[in-house]
Amino acid sequence: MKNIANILSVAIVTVLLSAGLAQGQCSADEKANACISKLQEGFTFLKTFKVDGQGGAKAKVEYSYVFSKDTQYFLNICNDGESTDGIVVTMYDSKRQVVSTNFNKGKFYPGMIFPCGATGIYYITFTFDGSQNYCGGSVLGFKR
Amino acid sequence: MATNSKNLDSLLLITTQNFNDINTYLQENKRSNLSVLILAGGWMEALHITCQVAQANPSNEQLIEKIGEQKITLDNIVQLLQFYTQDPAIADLHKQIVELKATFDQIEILTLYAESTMEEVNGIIVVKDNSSTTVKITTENVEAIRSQVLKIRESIIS
Repeated sequence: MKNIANILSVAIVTVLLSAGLAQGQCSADEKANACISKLQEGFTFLKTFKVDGQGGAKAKVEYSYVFSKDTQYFLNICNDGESTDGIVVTMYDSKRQVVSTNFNKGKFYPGMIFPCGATGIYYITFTFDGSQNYCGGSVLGFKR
Repeated sequence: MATNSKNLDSLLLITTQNFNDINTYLQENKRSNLSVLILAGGWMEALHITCQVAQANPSNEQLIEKIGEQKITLDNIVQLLQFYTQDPAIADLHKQIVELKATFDQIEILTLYAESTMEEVNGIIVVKDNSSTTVKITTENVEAIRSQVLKIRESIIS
């Protein structure tokens, strides 16, 4: 009887630990997909970006994309609810000069519009500033 | 796909998701060389179509400029293929793509860098991009690219 109780308590602890781990996991895919419907009207979907900071272990998530001149791009950042949860997106040009960021004058913005004037490779980096979950999604759209 | 062909949003979403799924599967099965072939093949076909349309519309400067801008993407494709040249199928394609790159190298993309500015409009950041690019491409460049792409494409599909 004592053995059964021991096995049960081990099983319960294992289940609780697994649940805790699952809660800490980042469902960046889901967040990125949920972000698609939040694309500003008039913009056509291009790509989703997963933002998984692995609970704070990863300081930066970076992607690159070729932007074309005379095209407007819209990049939004999604999390649970309206907040961006401290996710900072910064766009750099091919010379690694900052072109834009959603964190301006101490305020986080949920999106940015970039009317591209110079065709080239751009780097889209996601970093975290006071984030709770280090997890989110982003969607890129375009219009001409 | 056919149902969504008039809806660019859905078409791009489906193709992107499909490619991501295929790419993940191929990477998990240590066949990422095939992902690179899909990518290079898709780009080649798009370039082939663009070149054919440009030939039929030689006064369409925007289209010709788009062909020239492919120099940037081509540089990345060459780098990607470079990783898999031990695969004979890729080595052959890589050789042809490097020859195509030599033609693209004659095109100049001049970039004038200038600091951008930002402002808030309706709760969104709106950037004013002050940089600009100019693509220097001749009719001869376009024709050389068109015929080279046609040759590569034929060697793939025959």
